Amino acid sequence: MKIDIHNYEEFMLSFIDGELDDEQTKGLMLFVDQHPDLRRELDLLQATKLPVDTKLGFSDKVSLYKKEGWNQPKIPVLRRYYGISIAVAAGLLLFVALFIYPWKKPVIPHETAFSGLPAQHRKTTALAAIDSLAKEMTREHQQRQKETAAARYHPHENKPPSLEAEDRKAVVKHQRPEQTKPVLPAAIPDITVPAAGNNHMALNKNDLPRQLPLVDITHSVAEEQIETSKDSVVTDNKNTSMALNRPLENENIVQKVDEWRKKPAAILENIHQKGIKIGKTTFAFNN
Amino acid sequence: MTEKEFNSCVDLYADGLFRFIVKNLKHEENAKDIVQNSFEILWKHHHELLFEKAKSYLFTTGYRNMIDHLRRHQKVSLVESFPENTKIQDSVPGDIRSVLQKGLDRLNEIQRSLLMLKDYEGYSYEEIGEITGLNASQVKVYLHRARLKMKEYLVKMENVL
Repeated sequence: MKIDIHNYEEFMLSFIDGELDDEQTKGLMLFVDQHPDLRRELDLLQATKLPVDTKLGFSDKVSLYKKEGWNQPKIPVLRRYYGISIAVAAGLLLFVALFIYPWKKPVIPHETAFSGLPAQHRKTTALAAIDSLAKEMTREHQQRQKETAAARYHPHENKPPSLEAEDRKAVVKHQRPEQTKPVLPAAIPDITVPAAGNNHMALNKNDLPRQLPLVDITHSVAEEQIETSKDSVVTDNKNTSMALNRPLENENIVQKVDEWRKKPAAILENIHQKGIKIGKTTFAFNN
Repeated sequence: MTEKEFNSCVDLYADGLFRFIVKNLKHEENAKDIVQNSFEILWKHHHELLFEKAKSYLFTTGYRNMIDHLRRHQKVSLVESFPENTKIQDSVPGDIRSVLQKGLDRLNEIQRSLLMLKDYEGYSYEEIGEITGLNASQVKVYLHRARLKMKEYLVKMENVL
């Protein structure tokens, strides 16, 4: 701000107060040099500055000195820091209520394993449920399956025709799209491959990455799953089981196993009843 | 603030506070009481205060007590000379000093306090504002008015003398 005849008095007063910087002080001095008649005014204002009486002082300083604990009421530490103590206690309670207590995981029975669980827990719980369900498949069921299969599939009667690769493809093509896809478990319990031989669904044990308990399917179950088509090699009148002279492709089984792994275990019950269908063959799980 | 720091405050600020109060009240005993009371209040709260804030706290407390005292008593007794135990510097000619004192008496209590805080203690506009409860602009305006009044009185006295 430039000093002129209209604002010089304010600059002079600020100068007396010691509030001007170096640049402003130089400007003021220059202005006063240019206007000598204003010098007297500056001197008068300078005279209004009160002189400091450094010799005037408080004579009895000794009476003002203090000692810790002297003439001071004893304030308990807790009372002294009452406000801080309350704030810290409230903060701790809030922390426990928000972060510690809610994370106490409840014990969930496997029947309700999936209700209300977060997604990341479902897989783990599903695997555990599948394992336990697989183990729960009774010997009686297995025995029943074996008896039924033996009665139906006598090795020397109604030997199903062997299918060439082209026929197998044709069979796959004629699968009804509206038919419900096999209900596959999220994980596959260990399976035991029965000895190869007269069992039409014998699989080479060494070819399977995982072992499935295989049981010969019942005729009634097989008929439900049957694909009827003019081009189909397999008809109602023929044996519903597929005789395979060679083991199924490993890739199919591995692929199915992976699919099963991904499905939730709640559908395992369905598998238990109907089995898993691969192509036209239905595998029942048994322990 | 520790006990040691408090006692340092006594050594550093007791004289300046007393000077400020006694110049306003023009009564040594009352000024001593106010200074002692200010330090008692500082000691009472010394655990909550920092050493750097002690001077401002003392002058704020002393100023408020002084204003209360002035308004309670209203009468201001002019002291022409100080008791013998108070040593007074003679660097400034006595007649000018007395003229200035008289000029100060003609100011109101706020203008006088502002002038003393500025010239005796060297506080800035902002610091004076914190002590007196004014803002920096108000302090500047009041100070300038006070100095112009003092200048007019000096010119008047000059003419008389």
